[in-house]
Amino acid sequence: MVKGKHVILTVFVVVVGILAGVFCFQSEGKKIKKQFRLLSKQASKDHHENNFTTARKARDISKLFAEQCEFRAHITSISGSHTRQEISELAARARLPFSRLSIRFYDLHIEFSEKKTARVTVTAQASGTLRGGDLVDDTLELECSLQKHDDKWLFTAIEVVEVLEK
Amino acid sequence: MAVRKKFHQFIFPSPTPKAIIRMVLVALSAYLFFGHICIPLRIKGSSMEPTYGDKSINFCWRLRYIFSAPLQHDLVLVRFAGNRVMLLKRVVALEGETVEFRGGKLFVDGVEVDEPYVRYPCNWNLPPRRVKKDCVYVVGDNRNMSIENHNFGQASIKRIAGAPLW
Repeated sequence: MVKGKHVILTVFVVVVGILAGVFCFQSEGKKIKKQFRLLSKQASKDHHENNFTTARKARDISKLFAEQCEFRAHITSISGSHTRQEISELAARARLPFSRLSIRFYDLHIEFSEKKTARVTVTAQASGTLRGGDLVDDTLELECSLQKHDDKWLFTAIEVVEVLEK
Repeated sequence: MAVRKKFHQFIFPSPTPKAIIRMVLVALSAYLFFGHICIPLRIKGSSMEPTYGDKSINFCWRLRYIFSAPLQHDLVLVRFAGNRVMLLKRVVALEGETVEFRGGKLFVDGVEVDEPYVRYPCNWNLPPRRVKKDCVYVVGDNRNMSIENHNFGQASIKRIAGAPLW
């Protein structure tokens, strides 16, 4: 009887341990996904956005990045290391020509390479309307590095992957 | 009447253990088939016109290139980070071949290629370039736009997710 109780207790402890492990692992993944959701929300824009909201969104976008973030892209104007302030200005400049903009992220693949470091491969789709009325639709694959600071995952590097090389 | 009753019973079965198992199996098969083998697609954009129009529906047949490699003139789907967003393109050259556009005409290894699927006028010029190992060169059928605005180039064979079903 005592032996039976021990078996049940051991199984219970193992199951709880596995569930706790799975929960902890998922929660980090969920936190990273939340950062992408926030980036999508802050980067997107609708027709009614006023100047105050534009400024707030540019500032909020920069809060998702680390103090220094490295951009690697074929667009040479944004390649390099940028501070939060510079990211805020870049975001404001990039959103300015659009009257409507939607940024969506698909197929997030998260790898935890080191402690407090994650590497995310993701498809980013930008669609919108320029102030002149022209439609814009572009899709990119991004390789992002994120680091955990004070329980928040912040972007430390973003690289545009060249899917089709001309 | 009996047939109608049987049909009704087939569509809306009583929740017996057998019916529940059948429903679970159908749902699982549908998920595997339409999620991983034959993925539904909605074509967006005009880069493959007139072969495929904007907003048309198709499926990505994932098993197409399991035992064979893509050939010249094949239609392929090039994936980004996952299978949610893909590029529908045509293979125009294979690894080791040299691709070039001269006055809108495609040349592979210096020989002009007959492309009956290209219906719209094209004036592209692209200096010759060799297709890298394990890559294919893909272009859309609609070249009636500036070369800068068309998404084309060489893609790794690993990125070929499959072919359109029709």
